[in-house]
Amino acid sequence: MTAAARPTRNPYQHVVADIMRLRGVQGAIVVDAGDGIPIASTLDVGVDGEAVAALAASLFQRAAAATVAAGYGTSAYVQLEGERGWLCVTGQGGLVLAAVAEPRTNVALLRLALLRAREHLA
Amino acid sequence: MSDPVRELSATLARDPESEAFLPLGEALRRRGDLDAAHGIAMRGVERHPFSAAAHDLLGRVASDRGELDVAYDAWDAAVSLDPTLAAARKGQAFVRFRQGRLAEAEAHLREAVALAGGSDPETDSALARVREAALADVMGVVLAPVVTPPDGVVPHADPARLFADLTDMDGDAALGAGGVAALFVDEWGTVRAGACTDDAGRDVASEVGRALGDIGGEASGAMRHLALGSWRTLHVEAERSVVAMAPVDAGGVVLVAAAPATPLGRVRRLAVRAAMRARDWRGSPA
Repeated sequence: MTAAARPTRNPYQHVVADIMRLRGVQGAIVVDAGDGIPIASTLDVGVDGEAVAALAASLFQRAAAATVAAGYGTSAYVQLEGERGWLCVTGQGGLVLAAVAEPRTNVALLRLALLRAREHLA
Repeated sequence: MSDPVRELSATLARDPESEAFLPLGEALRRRGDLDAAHGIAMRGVERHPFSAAAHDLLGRVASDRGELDVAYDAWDAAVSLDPTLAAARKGQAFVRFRQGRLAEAEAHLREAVALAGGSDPETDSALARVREAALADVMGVVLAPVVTPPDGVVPHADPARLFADLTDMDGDAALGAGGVAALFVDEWGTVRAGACTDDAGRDVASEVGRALGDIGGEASGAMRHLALGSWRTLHVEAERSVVAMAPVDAGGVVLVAAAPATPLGRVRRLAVRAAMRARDWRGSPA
C-alpha cells in the first residue's frame, strides 16, 4: 500500500502560535530574511502580513548591518515603539521572527518569548 | 510649569481662526509629535491659505516626516506668497540637497543670501558646503553631508558634552569600560553633539553615527506603513552593545549605546531624555 500524500506541516507554525498566546499580540510571522517573504504567520484581522514581513525583515537586516558597521557585533533583537503599537523582531539563520503588538502589551514578556523562540529558527 | 502646547491648544479651540496654530504646530513638531503637528499645519493652511507662515510650517512638518516633495511644494507656496521669506528658500535648498539636486539647492541658497543682504553666516556656510558637495559630486568624491537644515543647528559651547551629565555616570563614554555614549546625529548623518570612544579611547563618534544614524528613517517608514503612528523609541541588542534611539526632528536621532549588561530600561530612558535635550538645543536661539 502506498502512503497517502499528506500536507507538509509547517515547522514554524508552532513558533508563531506560541507568540500569539501573549496578551496584546496582534500578529506573529516568520519571514525569509533575504527576500522578506512570509514563511509562517498568524495574524489578527486587519494586520497586513506581507507588509509586516517585508518591513520587519528590512529593519532587522538594516539594524544588523549597522551594528556590525559600528563595531557592536551582530544584532539579536530589535524593538520599535510607535504611538499605536510595537514591532519586535529577532532573527537567526536567515530567518526573521516578528511580532506586532498593541501599545499596552507587556513588551518585556514579548521580548523574552521572541528570544526564546529565536532558538527554534536555526 | 505650564504646558505651552496645552495653552496654545486651548487658545486655538477658543478662536479657531487665530494664528495660534503656528506656535502650536511648531511646538508639536519640536516635541516630535509629527502626526499632531501635521494635522495642525494642514488645518492652518486650509483656514489661512494666503499665509506664507502657514505654508512654511507645513513645509517644516512635512520635511520632518520625510515627505520631501510635499515640503518643497509647501515652501514653494510660501515663497510665492512672500518672496522675502528666506527660511522657505533655505527649506527648498534643504530638500533639493537631500534629493541630490545640488545646482537647484545652490540657486535657492543664493536667493536666501540675497534676501539676507549677504550677511547671514549660516546661509553663507551652507552655500559653501553645497558648492563643495557639487564639486565632490563631479569628481566622484563622497563628502559627509553638510548643509544646515532650515531652522538651523545653533552653535554650542561644547557640543561633545551636551549629554555629559546624562551619560557620564562613570565618567566614561567608552562602552568597554562600562560607560554609556550618546550622540545626536542629524538628518544628514552628521554627528552634531555627544561623544563616543572605543576601548582604546579613540573617538569613534562619526563611525557609529554614520552606521546607525539613518536607521531612524527605516523606523519611520515601518511605522507609517504599519499604521502604528510616529516612532518613539527603537532599541537594538547587539553582541557588544545595547543601542537605544529616539527621534529628534527633521529625521535626526539621538542614539545611546551602552554595554550589554546595562538595563534596557535605563538605556531607553536615557535616549528619550537625550532626544528632548537635543531638541531644545537645536531649537534654542543662537
